[in-house]
Amino acid sequence: MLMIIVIFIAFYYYPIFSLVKTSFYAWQFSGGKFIGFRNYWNILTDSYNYRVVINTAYYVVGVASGSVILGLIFALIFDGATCTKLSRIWQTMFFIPIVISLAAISMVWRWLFEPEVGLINYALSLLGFSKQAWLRSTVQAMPAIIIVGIWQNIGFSMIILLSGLKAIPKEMKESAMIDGASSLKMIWHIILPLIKPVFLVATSMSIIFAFRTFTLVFVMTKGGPAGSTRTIAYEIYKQGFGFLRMGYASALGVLLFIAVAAITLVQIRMISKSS
Amino acid sequence: MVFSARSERKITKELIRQLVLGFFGLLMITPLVWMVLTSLKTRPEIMQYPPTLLPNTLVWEHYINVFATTLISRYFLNSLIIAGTITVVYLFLCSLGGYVFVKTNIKGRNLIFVLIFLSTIMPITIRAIPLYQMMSSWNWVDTYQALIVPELIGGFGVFFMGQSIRAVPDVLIDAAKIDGCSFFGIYSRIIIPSIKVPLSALFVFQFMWMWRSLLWPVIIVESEGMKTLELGIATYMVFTGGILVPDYGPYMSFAGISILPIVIVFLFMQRYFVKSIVMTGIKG
Repeated sequence: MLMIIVIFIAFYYYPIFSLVKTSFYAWQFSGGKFIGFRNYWNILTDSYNYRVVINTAYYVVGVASGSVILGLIFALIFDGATCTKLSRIWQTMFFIPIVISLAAISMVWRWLFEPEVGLINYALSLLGFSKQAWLRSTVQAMPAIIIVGIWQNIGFSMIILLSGLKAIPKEMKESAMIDGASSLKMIWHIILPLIKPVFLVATSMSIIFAFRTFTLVFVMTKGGPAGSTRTIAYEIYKQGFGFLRMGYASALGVLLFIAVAAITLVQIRMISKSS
Repeated sequence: MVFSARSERKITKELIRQLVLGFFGLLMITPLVWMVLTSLKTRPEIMQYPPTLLPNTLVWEHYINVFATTLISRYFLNSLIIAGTITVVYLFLCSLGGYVFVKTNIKGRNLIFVLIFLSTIMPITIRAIPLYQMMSSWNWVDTYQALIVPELIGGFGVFFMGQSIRAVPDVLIDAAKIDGCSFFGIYSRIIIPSIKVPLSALFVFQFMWMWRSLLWPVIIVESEGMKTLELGIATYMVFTGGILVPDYGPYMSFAGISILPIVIVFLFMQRYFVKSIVMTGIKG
């Protein structure tokens, strides 16, 4: 028991305190000077730095909403399917992205997004669209990464939502159908409220995972082009271990910590309210 | 056979459903398929546009290339050792912790519980910088310990185990105590067997998570021989003529070697994986 506490304190709490302390310094590696809130000030006022916050928010909102909403749509379709043997096969296909190595598949996606010879642009050209710059464009790079993020996470949200849907007694769905309610109405008024807790879990887990995204950015864009895809986790790495501006990176870490803590609190609040 | 109008509608509905699901299902695995196909094509053919579907000539050179020029088997071994060790110890410590919280009455239990719960919002991303400073002052940089120790226990695991252990009937535990069973005796003979399913769910979850971790390895690993598989592919640098365009053949085979074994394992253990994720998601 004591051993457990020691480990926790050593590897969880002490680092947090150290992180907060370091964030108030201009810390290189072995010592630095105390500069108060200057690191935070730099992050929040300099527009290049602040971009990181915007990028991260962009990514989190994009991936979380995309994977949860699409996950819900597919979960609903799967739930209504009667040919289970066939459904199982498709379900497996949806789940595979969750279990595979992120770095490896990010490389594959980078290949798919290759502007000149990539498969995605080829498919687009077949549909009559022109080739897009994707990862080379400051505007399209983030959406490309968001697409990959959604692709990776749909399966996860979907499993959770599907299990929530399956928990609804069949009689409820059947009685609604007999009452003559149209499917859409039935979904909106009956099913959705019933899966609210599961929905909240799926959403908040997606959000929290999305905040920690590092691999995608590292492998696909390294934060570029022109810093348009830097997310906070990547920036912590880049600033702290690339530029060795550890104080600055610590401040970023503290901000991330606050964000994750806030979301977790909201999640707890909402879950206890609905149960 | 005569179908009523109602059941005919049902059948068409189902058909549409399956078509939609099938279409998107195949879309989901397109990257994987494309990866395999690309890895078997010759370099010029890969760069062809419009791209060819199946390889005109099947080549294994990229796979041979990867095995010959990288330490991929070493990376794989490292990942296995690290993820495996972490997960086993993690299960042990978390189940022990969960047991203590749910079934015993040590002083200060509630306070400790809150502290452990709070650690769920301290993922390694946030702890990375201070942890690195700690590791370097202990001379642990670029070592197995550095990769393993910081992840040996976590709030999530303790919480999850606690919830699962809660369901173990107190009567069993009391009976064992009366029989004179020690703390560890109860732990190993009653608790562990009762939570086999959540235990394996947590195993899958944690192993998967550790296998794919990149931020911490990329910070703490400095030599080739210590890289994990994930790190190996993230830092694999091989380019054709110009600097901007990676040599995709080897990349795809590297990716293939990393991904395919897991996919095969997954296909066999599907139900298991899925149950694990659902369980950890719902209890979490």
